[in-house]
Amino acid sequence: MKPLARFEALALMPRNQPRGLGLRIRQALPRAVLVPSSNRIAQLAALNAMEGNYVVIMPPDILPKADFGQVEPDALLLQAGYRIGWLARNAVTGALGASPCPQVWQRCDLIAYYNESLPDQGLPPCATMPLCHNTWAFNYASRPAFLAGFDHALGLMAQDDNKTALTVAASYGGDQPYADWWHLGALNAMVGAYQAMLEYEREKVAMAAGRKMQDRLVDLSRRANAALGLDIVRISRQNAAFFRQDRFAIAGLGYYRDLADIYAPLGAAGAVSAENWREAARWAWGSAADDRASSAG
Amino acid sequence: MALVRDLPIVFMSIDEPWADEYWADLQAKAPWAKRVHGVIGLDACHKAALKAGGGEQVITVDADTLVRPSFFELDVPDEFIRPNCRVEWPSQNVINGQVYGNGSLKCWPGKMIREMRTHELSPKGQVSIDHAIGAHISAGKASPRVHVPEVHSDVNPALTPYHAFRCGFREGVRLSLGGGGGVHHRLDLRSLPDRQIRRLVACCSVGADCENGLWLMYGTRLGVFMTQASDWDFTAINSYPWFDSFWADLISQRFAKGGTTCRYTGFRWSPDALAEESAALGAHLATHFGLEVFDLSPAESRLFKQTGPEPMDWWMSDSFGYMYLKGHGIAADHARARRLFDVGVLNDVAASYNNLGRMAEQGLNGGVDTESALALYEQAVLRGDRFAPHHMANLLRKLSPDDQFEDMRADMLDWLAAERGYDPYSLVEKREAAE
Repeated sequence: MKPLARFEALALMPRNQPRGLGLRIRQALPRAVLVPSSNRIAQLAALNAMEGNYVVIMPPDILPKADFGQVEPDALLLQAGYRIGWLARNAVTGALGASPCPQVWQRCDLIAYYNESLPDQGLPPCATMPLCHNTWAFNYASRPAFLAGFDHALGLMAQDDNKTALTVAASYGGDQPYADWWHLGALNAMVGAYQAMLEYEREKVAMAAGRKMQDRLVDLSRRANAALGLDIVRISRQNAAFFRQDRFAIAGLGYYRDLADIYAPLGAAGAVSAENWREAARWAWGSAADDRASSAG
Repeated sequence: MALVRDLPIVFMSIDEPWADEYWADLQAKAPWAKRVHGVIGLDACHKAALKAGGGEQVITVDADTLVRPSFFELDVPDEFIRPNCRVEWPSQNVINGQVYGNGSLKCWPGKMIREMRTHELSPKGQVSIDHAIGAHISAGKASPRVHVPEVHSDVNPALTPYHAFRCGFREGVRLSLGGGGGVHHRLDLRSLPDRQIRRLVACCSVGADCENGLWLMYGTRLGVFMTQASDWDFTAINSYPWFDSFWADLISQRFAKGGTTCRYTGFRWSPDALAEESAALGAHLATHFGLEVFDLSPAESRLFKQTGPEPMDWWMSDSFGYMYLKGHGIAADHARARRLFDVGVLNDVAASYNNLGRMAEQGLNGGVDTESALALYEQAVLRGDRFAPHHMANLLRKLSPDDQFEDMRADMLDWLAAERGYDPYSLVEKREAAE
């Protein structure tokens, strides 16, 4: 299959986008159409004006590396009706995640999604590749950082076995721009807030009235630890770089397992790919990768 | 197929005050285990272990390693029970969370142990600071080591200040020289692969939450510093008597008479003075060698380990594939090599792109396919592989012998390979001579 650089792409541009974002996207995806993320009509018009069967969609704040354009999506997955996603690295914590992340869609599916005319089975299933060529760079202002942290933590809290991910979200990356606002958003969600914008405005007003950010973060961390049984630590700014550099060199085991499960029923070629991904998981994560297989067997 | 529980297993100790406890633990799990104690020299110690084991294979356990019960349920495939092939299961370091060869469990063939000349027995003129020398365990990609990506043991090298310091120091020297199987001369630290730098930095930074963890970090930092900053003979780390006097004459004196006491030896030391000097050493490493290490607090160290887990050395699938490709230590099997390189590509291992390129160019496991080979070399070059630029240059010249543009491109690729450390035409040497 051809590399992503030769695909048409729809890049959703955030409000008050950082300078150079469009240029960076077009370096990797020269055929990208840049459309405001708030304008669904323009997005749909751009999709309708495209010609190819497939389209890459770049969510707001996703910044590709130049080599993303060299990636070739697997035709087997696309022909089987899957969307294909690639992990994005959180610009503050360094963690790899699938939400948000760039994806390749069948253009007709995406148009149906915009028109709210998807078939009964809903969104096409997504196969996430355990590889990362993008950064989720939300930390260019306090508002997007707070909202991203808030939504991310809410998403994690809806999942099982989330303690490590929540701890990372609220601990890592203190040396990055607007990291405190990301942490503040995440911690607010962890202690039970549910209206992100309202909490953001409240925090801003309190800060303007003299509340100290670090005191607030320490207080919220203590409350989140008590409420959720976490071990959130306020990492010093000097040491925050170490945690980003030395963790998350490779995707988590779950991504490998999910992908192998997706490939397994896709005929002979799919079975080979599934086995290769399981083997790749074994080299990355050791015998933990075999645990489920052996327990299932 | 050989079951681990059917193989001789030998516990090797020399001067560790906790060795009896760890030996008892091993005996409880593996009553057939044997022990060698007090044999001076790392090469001699392994030869003694083979003798004590009494078989043609021996599994060695270091004195600071606790074996998990899961290990005794394993089997070693017949294809690895060969005279030139060592099987290795990495160990998890409880102080810094790293998973790698330090304290690993190893299944040795008797022939290899008998014939190897490493550490104190290395031939005159050859440098050996680990088991990577000579025809039997050679440095680099041809190293006939089967790395099994499974953890079945935990190593705690910091049970006393002295042993923590000694282990840290040895690791600092070895890792700053490129790690096990690496080159044994001084290197610019910036030329080490990212993954090795990450491991070295973790060893220098994590562990303040553990008893004697500071000593391990201090030892590692000092090992790096002495290797890089002076012409000190780093092969001294093979000699435990040298370590004894280094410790007694210099290190222990420097931090003695503090408020912390070692529970095994009664040695008293000052954690504050040690932390202060360790931080100063860290600053020197950053200033002079561009190695940024971190002084993590106990809470930060704990967080680092809790928010793991640490992945395996996933790129080792490529080395394993190379063994199958070349028949190093095991029987050559191109299909198996191809599969392991395919797996390496899934994990984005640059060397696997290069090796698949070689297979495509040479028609191994399929017909010759130069177009695919070029595409694979290009991917390997993009990912920083050291050998791929050279192979790609050769292929370009072969495919387009009269094309000036491709020839120029090939020249640039040769320079790139030289800059990455692979310089078969001695380009760098010639340039330096010309200058």
